[in-house]
Amino acid sequence: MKFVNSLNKALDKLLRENSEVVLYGEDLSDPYGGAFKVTKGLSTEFPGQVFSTPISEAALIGMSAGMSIGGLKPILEIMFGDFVALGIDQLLNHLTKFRWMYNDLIKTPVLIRATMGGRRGYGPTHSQSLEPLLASIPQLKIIAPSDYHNPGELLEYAVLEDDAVKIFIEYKLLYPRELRLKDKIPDSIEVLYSSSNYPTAYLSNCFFESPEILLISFGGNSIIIEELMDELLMEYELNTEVILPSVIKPFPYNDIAEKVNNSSCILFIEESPVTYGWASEIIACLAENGLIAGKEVHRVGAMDLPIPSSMGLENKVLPSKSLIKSKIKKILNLERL
Amino acid sequence: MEKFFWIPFEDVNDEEATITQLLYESGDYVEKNSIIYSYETTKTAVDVESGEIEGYIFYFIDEGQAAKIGANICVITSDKDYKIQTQEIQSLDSGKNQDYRLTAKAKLLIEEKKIDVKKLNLKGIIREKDINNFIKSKSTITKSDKEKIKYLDRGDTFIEFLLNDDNFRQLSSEEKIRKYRDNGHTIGENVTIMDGAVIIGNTITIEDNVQIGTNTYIEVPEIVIRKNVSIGSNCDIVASQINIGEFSRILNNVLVDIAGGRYFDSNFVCGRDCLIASDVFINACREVRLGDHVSLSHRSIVFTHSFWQSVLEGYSANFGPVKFEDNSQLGSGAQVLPNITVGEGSVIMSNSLVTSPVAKHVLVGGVPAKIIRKDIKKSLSIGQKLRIIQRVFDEFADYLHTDGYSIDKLGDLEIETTKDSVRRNILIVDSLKKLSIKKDIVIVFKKEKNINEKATEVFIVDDKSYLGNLSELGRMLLGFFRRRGILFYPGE
Repeated sequence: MKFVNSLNKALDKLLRENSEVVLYGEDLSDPYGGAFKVTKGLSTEFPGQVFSTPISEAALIGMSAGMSIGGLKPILEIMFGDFVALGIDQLLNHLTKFRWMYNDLIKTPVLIRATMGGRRGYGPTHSQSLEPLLASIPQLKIIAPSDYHNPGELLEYAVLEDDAVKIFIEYKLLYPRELRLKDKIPDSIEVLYSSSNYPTAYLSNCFFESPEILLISFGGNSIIIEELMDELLMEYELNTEVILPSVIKPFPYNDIAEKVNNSSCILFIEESPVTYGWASEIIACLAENGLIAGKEVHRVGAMDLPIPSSMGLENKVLPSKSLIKSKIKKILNLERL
Repeated sequence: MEKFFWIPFEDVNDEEATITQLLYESGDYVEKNSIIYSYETTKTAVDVESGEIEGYIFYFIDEGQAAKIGANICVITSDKDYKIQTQEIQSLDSGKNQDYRLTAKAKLLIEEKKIDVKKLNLKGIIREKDINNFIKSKSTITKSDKEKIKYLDRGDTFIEFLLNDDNFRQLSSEEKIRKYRDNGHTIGENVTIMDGAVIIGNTITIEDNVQIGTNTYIEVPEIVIRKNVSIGSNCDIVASQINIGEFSRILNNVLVDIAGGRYFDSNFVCGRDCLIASDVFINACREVRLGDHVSLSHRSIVFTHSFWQSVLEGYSANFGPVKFEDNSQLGSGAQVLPNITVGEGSVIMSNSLVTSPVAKHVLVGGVPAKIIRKDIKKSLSIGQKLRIIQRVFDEFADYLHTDGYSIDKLGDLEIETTKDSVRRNILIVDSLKKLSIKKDIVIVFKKEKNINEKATEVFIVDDKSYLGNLSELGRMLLGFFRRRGILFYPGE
């Protein structure tokens, strides 16, 4: 099943079985069915629960607060995650604070679906990965599935069982990908999961040996990581382990700490700028707990620049596969082969 | 001149496009700026034009078929008899026909060893270690005499006698040794075979200064026990072949068996100066091989086969050798499973269960054992070594004091002992040249000329050797240092 189909099916199920679930956003009604076709067919099937809206992210996010206070479970689609910035005031100063300002008397179980990520030449305002910016908002939970997770299951759980305010990150290039579940997992990789409601995926090509490098990342970076694991295995027989949490804020400390403990060399991969990034936060936490003393720890991510429209330049600003690969080769001195 | 046309990346939803129409037949002549085919994705329908090129068109795909993004659709060429190459057709399944892939290292090894990949009979990713396993498995199938299962020669009257007559075991050590020699076995000088002990084998070679403890039973077709080996009491050793390296010590109640079945490599091979502590259990239905200075601690277990559940019901019955490389150590109560090599200098913590191979110089622990620490071996400077020896030397002086010696300290590196009115001095020096008079016992770092003129007994750190006939005090020092991991062997 493809990433996009998994989400579409989950939304269908949520709307069918829960009359309080409402799905809305820009251009998501049929026949268009949303910019990335995640909501295709749903407005026809559930006309009372699914509707398209005018272009005003601030109003859309504000509406979700009202809806949730009134007892609904709104799912809001933000066509490009970059536009969440237009509704930051509602998110930062209202939605995430109400529960605390009113002493738990009201709850705002809102889920905002937002596409993120570049590598498509969509330019500086449609390609960003704003996870670190959003992660700085207190009490905002950020879920970011990779193709090694089941995004539909995560979405269902987040909407029905989790009463936090949530951003659900959908990486653009993941939509057409086949989910890496069961027989779709590449033959060189084995996958284990932590037993949480938001499971962390552990990828390995060396379950019986110790890894030479541990990669920590999330979301659509799995695409590059999967290719890297394969290339480094075929070229250097490199033993690699990967941690892909499905919730990135709050990040699953224990899931990460356990693996970090057993690895001497760690590389964090993110598509947002390295500076003031997601990796920095985790590394700081691990350092405070004395878990990375004496280990080699590195980060790779975007440059501190707007993302260019030209694909060639975009590939320079964002961390490309070849850049990450040459970094790993340098860290591990692989050219000696 | 030729130009290929392919499906571009249209949008993030689509990995493929459907070819809705081909406007020509393969081999037709196409003018510039003509529409040559149409395709559709979930978002767009596109007519593709020939642009600034004209020539003969050849399609790689039929109308109505799906094509992957990037796949070639057609070529326009000036060659009227253009032959389509198979690699130009990229169907959706392309690249999946080969059911194995070789890593770069595996490829090199295959070329070097001239192995036919198909003979490996492997699917998926093939690594260097897979090729090595294959080479190893091939080499074990050759049938040399060495690799035949060894049984006791039941037709031999002496062996029958040893197996059945319990009175032999109560003979004195000298009488037993005489009988062994009379029956063609090689027994060295100063060997002791204690009460109740018996050694049964087709060929028995025991070198000088070997001790076999009381009630120890050894039943092995081929036995080699090198000099200065001691085997404790109540040991029970059954295998196809044993070879115990010099200075190795097997303590009491050690059990070596071949449960799981005798095989051509049901061997127990032990290098120089190993320690098998009391109550150790070694299953040797496949070879258990210890390098030099390996220690298996009290109650540790080595297994070369796994359980007896039915393989036809999907359980695994695992058989395989176990190897301990030089200087490795198995902690007390720890267990090692079949097919495992413990790397040089590695330590397995007590009560661990080792289920996968252990790298070199690591500390592993837990059930199942995981790496706790890497690079546990440090390189030491001469100064650091000197301080360590000095510390052990200090402890040794205290020990002597509690054993009835009176000790006079003549500085950090020299003591004088007195017992029964005999005065003897022991000292550590960096060079024997500094000694003006001959000393009794000297610990020195390097071997030097005319060493015998400077001291009666000399222990040389770099060589791990000692020279001279050891007095009682010298033997005490030898044992005390050995227990702290500082080893000396008789020198040339």
